Amino acid sequence: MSSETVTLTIDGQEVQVPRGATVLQACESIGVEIPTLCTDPRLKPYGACRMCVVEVQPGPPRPTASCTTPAGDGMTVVTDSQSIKDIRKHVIELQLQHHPLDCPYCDQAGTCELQDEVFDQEIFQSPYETVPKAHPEEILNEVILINHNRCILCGRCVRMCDEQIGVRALDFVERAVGTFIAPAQHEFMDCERCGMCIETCPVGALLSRPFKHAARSWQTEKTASTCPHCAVGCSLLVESRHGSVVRTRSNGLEEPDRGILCAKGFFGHSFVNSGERITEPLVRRNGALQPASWSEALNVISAGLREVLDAHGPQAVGVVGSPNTTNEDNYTLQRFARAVLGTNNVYSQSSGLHAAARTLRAVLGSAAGPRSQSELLESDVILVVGADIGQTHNVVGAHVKQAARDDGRTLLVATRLASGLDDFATVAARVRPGAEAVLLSALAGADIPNMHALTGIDADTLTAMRSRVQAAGTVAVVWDTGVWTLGKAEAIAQGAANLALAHDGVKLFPLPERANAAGTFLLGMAPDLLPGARPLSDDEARRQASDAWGAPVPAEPGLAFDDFIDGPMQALYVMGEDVVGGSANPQGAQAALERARLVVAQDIFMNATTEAADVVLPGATFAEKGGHFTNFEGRLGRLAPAIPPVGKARPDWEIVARVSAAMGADFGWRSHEPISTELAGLMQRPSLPGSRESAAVNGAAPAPADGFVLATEQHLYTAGVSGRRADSLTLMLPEAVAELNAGDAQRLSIAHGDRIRLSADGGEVNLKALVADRVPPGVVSLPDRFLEAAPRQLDPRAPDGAAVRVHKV
Amino acid sequence: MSLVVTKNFGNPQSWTLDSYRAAGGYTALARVLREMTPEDVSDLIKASGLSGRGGAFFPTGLKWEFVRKDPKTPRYVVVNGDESEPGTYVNRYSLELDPHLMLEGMIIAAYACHATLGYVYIRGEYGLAHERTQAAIRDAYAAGFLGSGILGTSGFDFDITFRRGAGAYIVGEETALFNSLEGKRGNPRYKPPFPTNVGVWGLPTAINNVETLSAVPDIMRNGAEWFQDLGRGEAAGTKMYCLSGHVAEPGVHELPMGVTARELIYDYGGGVAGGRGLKGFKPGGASSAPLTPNELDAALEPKSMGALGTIMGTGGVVVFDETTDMVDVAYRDALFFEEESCGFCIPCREGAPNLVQICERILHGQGTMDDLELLEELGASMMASFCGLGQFAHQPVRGAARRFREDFVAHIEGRPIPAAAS
Ligand SMILES: Cc1cc2nc3c(=O)[nH]c(=O)nc-3n(C[C@H](O)[C@H](O)[C@H](O)COP(=O)(O)O)c2cc1C
Ligand code: SF4
Ligand code: SF4
Ligand code: SF4
Ligand code: SF4
Ligand code: FES
Repeated sequence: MSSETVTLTIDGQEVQVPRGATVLQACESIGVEIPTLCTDPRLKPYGACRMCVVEVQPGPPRPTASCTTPAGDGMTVVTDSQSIKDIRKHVIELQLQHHPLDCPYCDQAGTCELQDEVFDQEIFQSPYETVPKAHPEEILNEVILINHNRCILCGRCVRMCDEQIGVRALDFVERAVGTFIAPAQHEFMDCERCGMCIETCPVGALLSRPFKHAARSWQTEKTASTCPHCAVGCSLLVESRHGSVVRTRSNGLEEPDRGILCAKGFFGHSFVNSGERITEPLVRRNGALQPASWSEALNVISAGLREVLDAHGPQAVGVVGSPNTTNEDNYTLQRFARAVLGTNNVYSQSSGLHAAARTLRAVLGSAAGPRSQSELLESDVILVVGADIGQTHNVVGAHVKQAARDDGRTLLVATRLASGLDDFATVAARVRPGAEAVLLSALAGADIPNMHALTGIDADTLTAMRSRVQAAGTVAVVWDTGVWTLGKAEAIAQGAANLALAHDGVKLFPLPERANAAGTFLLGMAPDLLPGARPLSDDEARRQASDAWGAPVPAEPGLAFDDFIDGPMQALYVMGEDVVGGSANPQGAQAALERARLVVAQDIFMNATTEAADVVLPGATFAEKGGHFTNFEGRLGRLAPAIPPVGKARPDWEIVARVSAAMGADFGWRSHEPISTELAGLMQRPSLPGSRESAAVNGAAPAPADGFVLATEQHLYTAGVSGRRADSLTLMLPEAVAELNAGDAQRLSIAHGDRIRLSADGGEVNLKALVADRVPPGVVSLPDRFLEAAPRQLDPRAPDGAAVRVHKV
Repeated sequence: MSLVVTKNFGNPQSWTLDSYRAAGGYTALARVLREMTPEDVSDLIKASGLSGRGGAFFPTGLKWEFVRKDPKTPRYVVVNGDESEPGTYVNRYSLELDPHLMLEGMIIAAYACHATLGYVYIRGEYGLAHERTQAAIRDAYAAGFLGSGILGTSGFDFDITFRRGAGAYIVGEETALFNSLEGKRGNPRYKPPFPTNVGVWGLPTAINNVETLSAVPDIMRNGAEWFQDLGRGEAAGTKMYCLSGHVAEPGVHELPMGVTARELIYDYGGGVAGGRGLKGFKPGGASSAPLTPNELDAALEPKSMGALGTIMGTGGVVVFDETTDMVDVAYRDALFFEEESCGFCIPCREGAPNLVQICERILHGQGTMDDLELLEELGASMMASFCGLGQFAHQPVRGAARRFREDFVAHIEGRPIPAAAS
C-alpha cells in the first residue's frame, strides 16, 4: 500500500482514499451518505453544524465531525449508530427553535438543505420551546437580501466571499445565540455582487432580490448552458418557467469557472426576456422599418443579394459575424459567404482579440496559444497587465487571487486602476494608460529611456517585477483585450511577445472581451482566414473547405472592412453586431450603409446598424438556441435552448441557412448538431513557425502637463448591449460615469455625483462624476460599453491613454 | 513541602526583576543555556511529569518536542493567561506577584522548542497583571534575557509580544486564542491539525498556561524526580488550588497535586463558612460537575476526577453549604455558558440556552421529570460540539441533576430543597 493512500473501515466496509482526504470524503467515496449543512465542495472544511458527526476509533471519546477529521490509516468509522442518529436529529431540533419554517413563503423551499434535514430526520415538533426570530428582512444592496430568521450560521456565505471571491464582504457579528451575519464594516463596499453567497446559502437566508418570489424551485426547467457575457465562459444553470428565464446559477465545479460566477453570470440574464427584444422580421417600406413575415423578409433578402451579385459581383457583398453568437452561427454565415455568395469579405468586429492573436501568431507562430486556465494558474508568476481582470474577467480574477493566496503563486499586478488583485499581489503597481506595451517590453529587458515618466512605475518597482519574472520557471502574462486596447492591441501583443522571446517560461493569455471572440478568430471570421484560423492562402485549407462546402472558396482574400464599406460594398449582411455604433467613424459607416443597395441586420436589440438596415431579422439569445462558444482557453462551452425563442425570433444559424436556402443553396440543417460536427472537421490548427523577432513598441506619450489621461476599461457591471437590458446589472451601474481620484476631484471642486464634461481633441462627453479610490491621480476612467458616453466620442481611433480635460458643468 | 510556583509570592516587591534575581531568578535559564541541549530540556520536562495546568493536562515536554520537530519556522511559544473560568484566579496571582518566573519558564520553553517568537496573552480585565507583566518583559529585555543572543549565546534569539484579551471566555481555548492574536474573530479552529504543528499564523506553536511555565525553572534546577515526587501517588508536582464559595477562608494554596478535597477545604480553607454543613463542591471551575460530601476524599488530580465523571479542570474549587439550591448553581453555570458560547456551532450555540431554560422551568416550578430526560439528551448532543466549551457546558448541569437529583425533583414536585445530597 502506498503512502499516498490510507485505508480505513467505514461501517464495516474497507475503503482506500488519498492521504489528506477527510472522513466525510471517504464516506462519500463509497456512497455512505452523511448529512451536512456547513460544507460546500468549493469551501474549506469548517465543522460548525455538527450534522456530519461519526464515531471514530482511534479518536476522541465523543462523536466527531467527519468533515474536519482527516481519514487515517487503520481508522474505524461508525456513521449510523443510534446515538449518532439521535445527535443529528437533535441538532436539527435545536436549530429549529429559532427557525421560522416559513417554507411556503420561502424562495429556498425545495432546494433548502435544512428543509431536507427536517424531512429526513422526521422531525414533526421540536422538544424545545420554539421562539422563531422575527427580524425584518434586510436589504444589503441592489440585488441581495438577508432574512436573519432563517440563517443557521453555517458561515458558508462568509467563507465563500473570502475563500472563493477574495472579497470578505460578509462577517459574523455578536456572539452566542445572538450571532448574526452582517455586511463587513468596510469591506462590504467591495461586494462584487457575484451572488455566490446566495448560491451557497443552504437555506433561504441570503436571497436574490431579482429572483424573490419569481418561481418555486421545483417549477422551473433547468438547462445547462454557458454564460454569454465574457470569454471566461462560465457554466450556467439556466432556470426558466413559462418561456422566461427566471434565474441563472452556477453549474458544477468544472473548468473554467470551478463553481463560481460573477455579477453578470448570476444576475445578468433578464435581457433575454426584455420587452425591447426584436421579435419579428422588419422590412423597410417607404423609408420605414415595418413588420413583415419571414417569407417576405427572406424574399427581399435573396432578391437583393442576387441582384447585387449579378450587377456587381461577389466582391460587392460582405458579411459580419459576431463574438456574441455561437460558433455554429458564425460558421453558417461564413460558409454562406464564401461558398454561396462567393466572397471572402467575411468579418467579425472583435478588434482587440483578433489584432492580438494575429500579432502573437506572426511572432510566435502556433506556440502563441490559446492555453488553458490551469496553465495560467499553475505558473510560478502571474503577471496581470493593463485592465483590471477582476472587472473584465472576474472569475479568472478570483481564481488568480486564490492561486496567489493558497497556492503560493507570485502575483505581479501592473494595472491602470487599483483593484482587488492588489491585496493578493507581491508587487502591485499602477501603469499609466497607454504605456502597457512599453512596460511589457521593459520587463523583457528593453532599455527604455525615461521609463518612469512613460509608465508611471518607478525604477525599484520595475526592478522588483523584472527580477521576479526572470527568476521564475514559468510566467503567465495576462491581459484583457477589450475595447481599451483599440489602436494599441498590436503593440501590447508585441510587447508580450517580446517578453515571451526573452524568457522561455513565459506563456501568454490575451483574454478576449466577449463570449465568443476567440471562437470568431479560430473559425476564421476574417477576409484572409479560414476555419481553424488557417490562412486563406493555404491551398490545402482552401481545398478542404471547398470539399466540405461543395463549392470553390475564392483564393483572393477579401478587403479590409473599412476599405470594403468605403469601396465596393453594395450588400452587407450583419449578424449580431453594431458596425455603425462600434465604428471609429460612425457617421461615415452610416453613410456607407445608406449608400448600399441592401443591408441586412440580424440582432436581438435595435441599434444604429439595424436602424440603417433594409431588413432586420430577429435573432436568438444564448438561452434560446443550441451551439457553442469558444472561451479564452479555446475550450468549447455548450449552449442549450432553455426557452423557445421569443416571438418570431430564430437561432442565428437557422436564419442564415434559410436565406441560403432561399438562394438555392440548402445546407440541409434542421438543428445545430450537424453544424458542430462539420465545423469541427475543419478546425485543424495550422502549424506556423512565427518570425520569432522581437520588435520595439511605440512609446506611450508622456503624461500631459495639465489635464488627465483617459482609462477606458470595462466595468464589472457592464456587458454591452445585452447588459444594458439586464435590469439587475443596470441597477448596479445605472449610467455611464467618469471616475476620478479624490484629490483631483477636490482640486476641481467636483463632488461625487456632479455632472462633468470630458473633452479631448476628438470630441466631448457629458456624464456623472464618481469619486473613486481605485483611480490614481491624473487619470480619469470612463468605462466603455455605454453608447451614450462612449470613449470613442473622445478619440475615435485610440481613446485609451488619450489626453482629456475635465470640467465641472 | 517545597513550593514551586508560589515560592516568591511573599518576597518584598516580588514582581520586580531585582527581587526575582535576589531570589535566584534566571539562574535556571543561565544553566540551561550553558549545559543543556533543547532535547535535554524537553526530556527532563517529560520525565518530571509536568502536564498542562490550563486544564487539559497534556504532557508539557512532549508538546515542546512536537513543536521542535516540526520543520516550519518561525516557531512560537504562547502564554495562555486568559484565565476566565469562574472560580479560578491562580494565573492572576502569578502574573501580579511573580511574572518573571513565568517569563523564565517561557524562555526555557522557547529554547527547548527552537522557537524565536512569543506572545503573552492576558485576560482583558487583569489590569495589574498587564502592568507588571509588561514591566517584567521590558526589564528582561534590558537585562539580556530576551532579544537576540540571549545571555551572550550566539544563536538563541527570542522576542515577545504582549497582548491583552477583549473579554471572551472562549479565547482561553488555545486555537481561539490564536485567532484572536491574528486579529480574527475569537472562534476556535478544528483539531487536528494541533497547535504544535499549525498554531498561531499557521506555524508550530507551544501554548502553555502561566502556571505550567512557572513550574519550569525549578524543575531545571532540582530535576525531574524532585518534581515528580512533589505530587501524591502517580500525580506529579504541585498545583495552585483556589478556594471560593461558602468556604471560611477563600484563597490560593499551592499543594501537592492529588491532595484531597477534604484537606483543601477543611485544613487549608478553614471548612465551610459559618461552620455550616457541606452540600457539595466543584473540583475545577464552572465547567466541572459538582461532587457530594461522600467524594471529599477523592484526590484532586485529573485521573481520579475523571473516574468520578467530573474534571480536575483549573483546580478552582467552589464550596456549597447545606443551604445551597443546586438547581440554582446549575442555572448560574448555564447562564455563564449561554453567554460565553462563541456561537460557532449549533449544539453549543443553540443548546446552551436550553440548559438555561430547563433550569429556569425547574426553578419556577414548571419543570417535569421529562425535563431531566431532555437534559440528558441535550447533553449527549452537546458532546458533539465543536470545542471544549460546548462539550463541557452541559456537564455542570447534567452532573448536578445526577448527583443532586433530589434538589431537581423537589422543585419539580414543589417540595423544599433538602439540605444534603441524596
Ligand atoms: C473553553 C476553553 C477555555 C479555556 N480557557 C483556558 C484558559 O483560560 N487558560 C488556559 O491556560 N487554558 C485554557 N484552556 C485550555 C487551552 O485550550 C490549552 O489546553 C492550554 O492553554 C494549554 O496549556 P497547558 O498545556 O499549559 O495547560 C481552555 C480550553 C477550553 C476548551
Ligand atoms: S455577492 Fe459576492 S462579493 Fe458580494 S457579499 Fe456575496 S459573495 Fe461576497
Ligand atoms: S446567511 Fe446562509 S450561508 Fe450565511 S451563515 Fe446564514 S445560513 Fe449560512
Ligand atoms: S466571468 Fe464572464 S463568463 Fe463568468 S460569469 Fe462573469 S461574465 Fe459570465
Ligand atoms: S462549542 Fe461553543 S464555544 Fe465551542 S465552537 Fe461551538 S459554539 Fe463556539
Ligand atoms: S458538515 Fe461537518 S460540521 Fe457541518
